[in-house]
Amino acid sequence: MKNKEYDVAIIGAGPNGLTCGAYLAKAGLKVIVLEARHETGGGLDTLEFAGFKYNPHAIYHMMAEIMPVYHDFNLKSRGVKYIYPEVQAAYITKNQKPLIFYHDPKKTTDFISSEFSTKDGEEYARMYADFAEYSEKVLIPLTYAPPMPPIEQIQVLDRAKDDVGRRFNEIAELPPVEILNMYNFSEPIKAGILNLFTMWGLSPYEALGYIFPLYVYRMTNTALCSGGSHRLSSAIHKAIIQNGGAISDESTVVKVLNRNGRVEGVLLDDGTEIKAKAVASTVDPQQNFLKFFESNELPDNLVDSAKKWEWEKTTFFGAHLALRKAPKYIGTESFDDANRAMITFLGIKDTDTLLDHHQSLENGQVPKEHLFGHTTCASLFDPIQAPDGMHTGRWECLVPYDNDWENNKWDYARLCVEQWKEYAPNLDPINTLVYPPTYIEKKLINMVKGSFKHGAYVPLQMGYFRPNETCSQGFTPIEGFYVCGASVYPGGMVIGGPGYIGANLIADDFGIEKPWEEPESVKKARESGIIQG
Amino acid sequence: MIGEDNIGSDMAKRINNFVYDEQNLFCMNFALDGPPQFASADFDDGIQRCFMGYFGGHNSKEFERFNHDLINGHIHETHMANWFIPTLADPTQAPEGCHTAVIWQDIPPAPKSWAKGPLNGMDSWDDIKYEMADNITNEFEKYAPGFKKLIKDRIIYTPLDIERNNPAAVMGNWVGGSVIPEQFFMNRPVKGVLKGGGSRTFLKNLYLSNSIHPFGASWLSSGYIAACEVAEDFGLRDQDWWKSQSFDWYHDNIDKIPQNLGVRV
Repeated sequence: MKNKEYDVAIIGAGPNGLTCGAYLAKAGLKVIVLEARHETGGGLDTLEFAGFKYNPHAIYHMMAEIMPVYHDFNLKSRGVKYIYPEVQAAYITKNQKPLIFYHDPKKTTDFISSEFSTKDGEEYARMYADFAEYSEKVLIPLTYAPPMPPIEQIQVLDRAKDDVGRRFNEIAELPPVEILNMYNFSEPIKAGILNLFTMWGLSPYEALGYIFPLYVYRMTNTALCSGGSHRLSSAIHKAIIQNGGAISDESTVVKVLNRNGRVEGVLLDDGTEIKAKAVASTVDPQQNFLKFFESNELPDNLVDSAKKWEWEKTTFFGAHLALRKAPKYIGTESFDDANRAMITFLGIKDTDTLLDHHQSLENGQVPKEHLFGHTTCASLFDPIQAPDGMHTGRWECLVPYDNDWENNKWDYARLCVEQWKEYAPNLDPINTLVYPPTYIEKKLINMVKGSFKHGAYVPLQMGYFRPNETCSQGFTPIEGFYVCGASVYPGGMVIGGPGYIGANLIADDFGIEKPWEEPESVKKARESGIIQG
Repeated sequence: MIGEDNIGSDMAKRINNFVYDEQNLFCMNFALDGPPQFASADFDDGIQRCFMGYFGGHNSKEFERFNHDLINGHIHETHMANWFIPTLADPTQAPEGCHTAVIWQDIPPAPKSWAKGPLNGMDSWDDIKYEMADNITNEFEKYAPGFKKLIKDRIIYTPLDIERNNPAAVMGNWVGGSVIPEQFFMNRPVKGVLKGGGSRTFLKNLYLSNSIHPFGASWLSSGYIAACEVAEDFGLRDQDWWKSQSFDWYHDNIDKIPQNLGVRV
């Protein structure tokens, strides 16, 4: 490795680094992916303890088969099997009947109509159709194409042949609560829909309207990766090797070597220099612009924006259980489907409660009385994630990072399991793997303060401004230095966007012919004028 | 996988009698805030630089009683265990300033009893693992005062956990079956299964790479033996890059191998 020269060195082997590496290796470039940890995958992490597979980071694959990498590398043939549970979400409370969201929107509509009200059912159908249209025609294609400055983006959408562009513009800058108010929902349906967005630590009040429909739509179409989330990264890892790329683990980059504003390679912490014509980083802005470069090597605005980078205010506290039986929830005697949900939300009964909870988290309060956790029993849908006849139980709840988690983690885990038991009295864990926010940060150093999206989703760090307006399209003022991780447009989660956009940009800059086609959704968006050119 | 019908009854009987129940490990992995401080450092601080050691078992009689219980399927009342602190040798295995430690004790995989009364074999582990872990930890605390306060997290592995993790590790046996005279060397796994004592079996083109000579561990030997024999049978063993030769080669070329390899006598 020491004496070799590469076309592209990629920093970080999470989903975006691997995606970028796979495309560029397939394009014929000499690629090396450098990973600080002992294995690749980043947040696509599956731990196996005593035959129980735990996914302490990503588990819900919102974009699953939509991701271009899934098709372009035929990941199905490389062992990626996506499972779409029929029941996507269930809300369990102590005094209300469960609310169920199915994968099939018609079933959800029928369920809401029969168990709550016809009006709510009709409103759900109307909202789902709107959100599906915004997502399919606008948001999904824009996830796999570079961003434009906001004013230009608005103009393009306004001028688009398809009227959906103009209609999308009307909601794009509204806060999620206002978008939701456009539909006449009763409780708990309203809370149930809003929570599909706020469960990610996203604000119901910020001007994030443009991603609200995508989250609601995709969180009712989300998939489990059979065998655990790590199977996805393993498949992309294999694709890189099979296309002639190299992967080097235990390789921590400390410096991006550059001369006269041009990248020359990277320096590892053991003193190894790796020469490369281009460097693509998938890590966070503070490492990218404060650690890898001296401040005099970068424009002041980049250094300033990195210093001001805002981490997420909330993160997840996880508890992963080994179970003899799948959880059976209270109040489901006549609603057994609620016991077969991909995600089960506990205790959320109305929007006011949800908003109060969000506010107290924003204020840095650690929930003690009502944790509003969400749970998943992955082995219900994918039995290979647990020993024969047994199950895994995954608990997550939003918490602020600032707390003495190292010392409080066991007490808090007990509290989580006790609360879960109030809703699932048969819960009887054999083992518990506790996963506090500090473990998130220690395992994946990009996720400072447990920021699993590599930085807050606030308007000034989103869209064309993620990570800043100079670099959101992937290139930077340093010639040959690219950024394409979760801290870059379109953002984090398992969406496969930044790495894909970065690979396209780098391939174009190398002037090579790309042996892949644009995703169908992007082609259609170009035809309808949603994407320019 | 082959099915008893395809094996002679004698062979099937011998395979069915293959045993996994020799002593096994109760293993605890700790994440620590700092290195354990041993009380015996007052006498010799070299202990602080040791990355492995033992505690418990103050005399031979106690060892004898411990082993007697072990062989008879009882968990001994007092604890004797090995400890390891890998991060003293390799600090990269923990965050800066932190350490990892492993403590393991020999136990019968299917215990019949413990101090408090009878047990139900392998199924008992889920019920007793935490109490037993606490007891062993309390015992270690006597030798390394303050150890418990250093613990940030722990993972406990019983024979049942090992078997759940890898169904081939029956009864948590991590060496591919008990290493006893009837199941050792040329007789491994059981007499008649292997042809020639390597990896070739009584079924043509079926090779084994587990439960054969020598036995499972991190020396990667069984897999290597299987690779050699498969390659030989495919006529692919003679490769420029494959420097180590087969036993037959050494046998046939014994006269050509230099006796004096340059070492001065």
